Amino acid sequence: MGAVLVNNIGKSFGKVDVIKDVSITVEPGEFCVLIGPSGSGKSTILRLIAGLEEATTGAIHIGGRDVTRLPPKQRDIAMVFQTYALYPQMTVAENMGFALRLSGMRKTEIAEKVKAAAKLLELDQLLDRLPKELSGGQRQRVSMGRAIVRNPTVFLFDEPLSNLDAKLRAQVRGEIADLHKRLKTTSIYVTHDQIEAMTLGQKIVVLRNGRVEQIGRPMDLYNEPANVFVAGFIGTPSINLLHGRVRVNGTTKAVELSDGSHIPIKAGFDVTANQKVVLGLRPEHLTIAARPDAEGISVKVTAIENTGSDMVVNCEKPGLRLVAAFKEQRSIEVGQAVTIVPDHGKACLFDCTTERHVPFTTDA
Amino acid sequence: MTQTFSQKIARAVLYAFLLIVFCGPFWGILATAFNSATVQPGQLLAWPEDFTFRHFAYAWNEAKAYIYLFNSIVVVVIGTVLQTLVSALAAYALARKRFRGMAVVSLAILSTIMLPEEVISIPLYLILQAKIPLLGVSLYNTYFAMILPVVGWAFSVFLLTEFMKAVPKDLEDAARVDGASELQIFWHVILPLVKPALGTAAIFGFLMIWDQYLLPLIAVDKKELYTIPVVLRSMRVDEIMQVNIFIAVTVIATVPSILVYLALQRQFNSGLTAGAVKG
Ligand SMILES: Nc1ncnc2c1ncn2[C@@H]1O[C@H](COP(=O)(O)OP(=O)(O)OP(=O)(O)O)[C@@H](O)[C@H]1O
Ligand SMILES: [Mg+2]
Repeated sequence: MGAVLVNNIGKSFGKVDVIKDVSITVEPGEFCVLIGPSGSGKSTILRLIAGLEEATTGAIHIGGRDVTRLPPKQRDIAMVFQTYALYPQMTVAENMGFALRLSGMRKTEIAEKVKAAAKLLELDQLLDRLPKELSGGQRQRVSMGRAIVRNPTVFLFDEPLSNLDAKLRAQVRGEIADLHKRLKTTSIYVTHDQIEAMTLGQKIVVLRNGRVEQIGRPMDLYNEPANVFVAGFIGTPSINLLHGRVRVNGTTKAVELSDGSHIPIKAGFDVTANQKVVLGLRPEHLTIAARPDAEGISVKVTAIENTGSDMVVNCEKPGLRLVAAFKEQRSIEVGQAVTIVPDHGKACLFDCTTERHVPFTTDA
Repeated sequence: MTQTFSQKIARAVLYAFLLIVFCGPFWGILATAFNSATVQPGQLLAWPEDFTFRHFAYAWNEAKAYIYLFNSIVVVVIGTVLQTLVSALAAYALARKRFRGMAVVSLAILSTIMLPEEVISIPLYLILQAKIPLLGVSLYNTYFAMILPVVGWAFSVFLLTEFMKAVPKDLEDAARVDGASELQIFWHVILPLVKPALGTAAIFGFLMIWDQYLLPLIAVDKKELYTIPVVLRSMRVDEIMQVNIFIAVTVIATVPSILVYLALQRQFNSGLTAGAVKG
């Protein structure tokens, strides 16, 4: 029995179907991330779970109860908004205690709980301030404090870090991870940042156009994306997707790319000769051959991005572009001709028409 | 900013002119009200020749201005409170909810501004005369007859609607998740955020109700229920009433407006400009 069960929900605004037949199970204590491009329906799903929107079809269960038709306050959830949504006229303490006050809790008890949550988030010094007297990062923490104070069954986060600068974002991301380790509260977290998804999520739900594309653990999505979309969405820099045809030679299989180069693939892929496929090669699974005449894809370097720790190399040849990423510095220059050799064992293979990942043969 | 001498002069002249135009008549009324000798109708003094409280004493004790002042205050206080409350509730619905027939409701409220008072005076008179079902009494000759017709005022409804529209939707959602009911969202989240506008609406409402003349005329015909504007009218046509006393009552009538304005001046000004730079 999951902490949150979303069963085949659909949501239409007027004639527009925004969410189509989405099912998600979140286990108790699990940190689940919803990810997808803008407009894919992440916020809408979160608001459906919160009860801020009513599902057109399907059912939602939280903590074993059917809450599909219940208002937010009967769902035992707390939500952190992208804009933080702190009540401007209330102090930090009043903001955090508002839900408790509405529930009729005694003042002394509220003060105690607010203090405990404030301590957890290092907000003790700020309790008497108004939201406008806080920095962006502090506001963000208050909005999390407001959720924590209530000790709900589920935390819902809607892109809580998107208004922070890059450095603070990484820091708060770590804090959220820590907090979850300590409190172990079931969480559903919306983001469009795949680094957040990979680092925070124990389960990731990839959405596109209101549909679930894939649900899985971060590394499963990375290693075995269900389709071309997920492959392109997970991982930075994005995966290289190269069109080609399958060539079978006895027991060995390879993909012939448009430029004529052959890339060997695992024999286990269930493909037939001449099948049109898309080969997925992650930039970090590419290496540069020591000898230029080695078997691989010979290309020309067009650009190099060096971040110090990482080196991203853009390469090109007519009809084909490749991005390679290296953890160590290489002495390459723009304009240089190189031969790129993929790690065959890690290549992904998709059917060209269905765009789905090619299954493995059972007898392999 | 530095000013040349001639600019300073021009500024001073302009201020003096404005002061005379706006404060002159009021000063004239004060001077006349405190002047012992009576003046001719239409005459105002620039300075009282011999200062006296006599006219005020007469207006208060003999002309019983306190009765009418009391009536006016009852009507204006209850009226303003109810009007502001009703307007705020209506504005909440118009600004934050979507419902069937919303455009029609909006238009109906708007149309009440477009109809002149005189046009609705006879239907209003008939309604006030009519007996209320079940209770079997009419509102005629009661305070309610003067209060209820001004409780719904399109101006303050629309003023508050605009301000409430500016409150971010997320705040409402956050309150809803925090467990607030519809009324609690209104009370704890929306109202505190439109406080300046609420003050502005209340002041305008106060002035509007204080100045009501036609309505009390239609709503009551018992002299002991008259409000100040109505009684002023009846004094003006009274041949034997001295002009100075009439003017003394006028001064009494303006005092509450001025007090309210002075007390809420800051609120008033911030409310007027708050819409310009939202914050
Ligand atoms: N109240 C509404 N009325 C009509 N359409 C809506 C409403 N809310 C959302 N939508 C539509 O639903 C779709 C999904 O919106 P949603 O806000 O869930 O996207 P999202 O994945 O959160 O995007 P983003 O990353 O930009 O926040 C969008 O196409 C949007 O236009
Ligand atoms: Mg969103």
